Amino acid sequence: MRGICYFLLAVAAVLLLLVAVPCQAHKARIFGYAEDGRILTESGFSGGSNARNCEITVHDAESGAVLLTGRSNEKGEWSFPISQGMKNGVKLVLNAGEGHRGEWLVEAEEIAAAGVPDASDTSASEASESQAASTSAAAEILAPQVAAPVSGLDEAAVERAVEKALAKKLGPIKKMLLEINEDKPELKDIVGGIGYLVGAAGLIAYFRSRKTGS
Amino acid sequence: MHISEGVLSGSILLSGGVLTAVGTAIGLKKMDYDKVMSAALLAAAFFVASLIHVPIGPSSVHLIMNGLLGMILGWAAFPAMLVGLLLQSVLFQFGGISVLGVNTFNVAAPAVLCFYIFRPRLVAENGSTTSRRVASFACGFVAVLLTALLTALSLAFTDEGFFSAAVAVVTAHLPVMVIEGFITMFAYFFLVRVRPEVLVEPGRNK
Repeated sequence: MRGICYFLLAVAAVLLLLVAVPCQAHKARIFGYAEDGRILTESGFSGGSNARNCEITVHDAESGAVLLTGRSNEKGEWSFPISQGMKNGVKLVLNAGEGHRGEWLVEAEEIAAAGVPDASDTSASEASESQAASTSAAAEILAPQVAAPVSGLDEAAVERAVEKALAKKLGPIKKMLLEINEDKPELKDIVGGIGYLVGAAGLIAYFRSRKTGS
Repeated sequence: MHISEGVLSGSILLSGGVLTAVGTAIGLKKMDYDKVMSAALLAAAFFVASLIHVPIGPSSVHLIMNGLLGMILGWAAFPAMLVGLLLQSVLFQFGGISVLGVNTFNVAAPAVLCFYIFRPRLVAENGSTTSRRVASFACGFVAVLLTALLTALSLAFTDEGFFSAAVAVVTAHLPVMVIEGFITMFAYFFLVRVRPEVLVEPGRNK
């Protein structure tokens, strides 16, 4: 009878450890990027699952004032158009309920590069100006080929097109970087934590045994 | 139940810190240092338990194991869980350092309460098997229930409000309560068979 109990306990312990490693935590996180006049956000829990129907507040990055609130959809996504009040950058705060909170800062430069909505018409000089200023790197790459305005295709339009294409490609890459940098509980953390606990207990026991002079 | 950083106001964080400091001091004083290794192993079980997830609706909840720790450690559950939560926040980024006091109190206080409520029935010589089954199951169940309620109370002063938070947290943790009730029950009977001295002496391990 005892043997079976030990065995079952050992099996349970092994299962526990096996299950513990892939199961990630429920740290709520939100990620956002600016693209094409909008800010797109994705909310989820570390480990992959989406944060559905959770409240998101958009704060001004400098003053902290609330600019906008919204909710994530079934896929954990929510997007909103960039407005004038967001030019200092925005802080996205996710409230996933039960005390779970995540934050993400969208920098002012990124918002400026994405422009404001309806920037496609050439009369939006303000938008094209800010885009021109921040996409000088991309423009330099193309400069050798479009040194002089070619038939109907001026530099500003090319820059806008490049910026749009870049933003589309970079968005998923930023998300991948975020996931790579994420600190998921790994086996080494678990073993380390258990090690600290057992070590601390051992130290206490050692010093006590020295005190009682055995 | 790990409340993240930045959710609670400073006054709640401070009160949680003070309460946990008091509880830990009592726990350290009452701890039987001869049994420090078993306390560490139980703390390790607590530490790993939060990695075991039960998916519920949109998010998931995790095991807490505070009923089991309270039943065996009593007041020593405070320092054990404090260290466990500290390691979780440092290694896994669960919860946070500023909320450590509140989070520790929310799991450890129910553990101590269940120790006082249920343990006498579990160590008595003349208890029937059924009453022991009920008491050990209830120890695990009630500990998680109280933790859920304390978490809701901590969130009461944020914009969520107590009742909506309480309903959400308690319902989400109902499966955990049942699972932990069974775990505590099985652990109790296992200990009775294999290491009865852990449970049969109410004077020790207080």
